[in-house]
Amino acid sequence: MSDQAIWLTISISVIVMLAMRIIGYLLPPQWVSKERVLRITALIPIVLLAALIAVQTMTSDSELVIDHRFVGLLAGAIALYFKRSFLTVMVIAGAMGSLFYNLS
Amino acid sequence: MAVAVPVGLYGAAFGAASISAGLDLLQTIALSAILFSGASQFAIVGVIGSGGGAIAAILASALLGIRNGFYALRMAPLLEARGLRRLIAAHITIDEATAVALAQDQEDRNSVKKGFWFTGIGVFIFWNLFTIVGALSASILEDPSKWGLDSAVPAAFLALLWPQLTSRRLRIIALLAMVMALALSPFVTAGLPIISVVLIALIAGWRK
Repeated sequence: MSDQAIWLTISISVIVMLAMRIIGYLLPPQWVSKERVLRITALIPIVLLAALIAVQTMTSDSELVIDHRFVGLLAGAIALYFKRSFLTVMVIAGAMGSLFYNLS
Repeated sequence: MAVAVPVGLYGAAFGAASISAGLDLLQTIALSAILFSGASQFAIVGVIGSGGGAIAAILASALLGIRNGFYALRMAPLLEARGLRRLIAAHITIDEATAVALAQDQEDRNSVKKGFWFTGIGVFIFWNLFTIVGALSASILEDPSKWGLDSAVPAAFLALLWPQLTSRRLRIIALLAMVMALALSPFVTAGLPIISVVLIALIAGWRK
C-alpha cells in the first residue's frame, strides 16, 4: 500500500471508530434508560468480554487452537478460583503461557 | 493501574508489528493515539502487512471496533459526562476501561467513574509510550508469545469479568457467549464472532 493509501486508511478508520463511540454516548437517555434496554445493555459488556477472552485465547487466524495461551488462561482461572489478586492472576497466566510457549 | 502495564507492553508488540508491516513511525503513532483500539490497530497493520487493500483494512477495523460503541451505550448513563469530557470518555471507551468500571460495585457511582477514567487514561498513556518503544525496537519484540503477553492479557480480562458473574444465570450466559464466538470463528470474518454474541444479551435481557 502506498504511503498516501495508508494515511487514507488510518483517517477513515479513525472517523468510523470515533463515530461509533460517540453515538453510544449521544443516544437520548430516556431511550437508553427503559428497563428492557437497561437489562440488555448491562449484559452486553459481559457477553462481549467473555467472547473476547475466548477468541483471544483459543483462535489463531480464525482457526480454533488449544495452545500455550489456553494453559496460561487456565492457570489464571485457577488463581481466580482461589481468590488471588488481579496482579497475581496475570503474572501466573503470563508465566505459564510463556513457559509452555518456549518449551514447545 | 495494574491493567495498564501489561496492556502497555502489548502496545510495544503493536509498535513492532506495525513497523514490520511497512508503516512508518508517524503512522504507527497516529494509530495508537487517535484510533486507540488495540484489536482494530492490529487488524489494520495485519491487512496492510499481508498486502491487502484499504477497504479490507477499514472494514476489519470497524468490525472489531463496534464493541466500543456498545460499551459507550453502557457507560453513558454511568459516567454522566458532558461536553469535552464526553468526547474524551468516548475516545477512551475500550475493553479495559469498561471492564474495570463495571467490576466495581455499580451502586457506588464514584468508583465506577474512577475505574473508567483511571484505566482509560492509564492505558492510553502506556499504550502510546510503548507503541513508540516497540516501533523503535521492532526486531526484539515481534513475538509477544515469548513473553507470555498473549496469555496475560486474556487472563486480565477474565479477572475483570469474574466478579461480574454474580449468579448462575450470568455464568451460563458468559459461557454461551464464549461457545458462540468460538463456534463462529472459523466461518466468519474476524470481529464478527465477538460482536455476534450481542444476540445472546438481546435474547437473555428481553425478559426478566
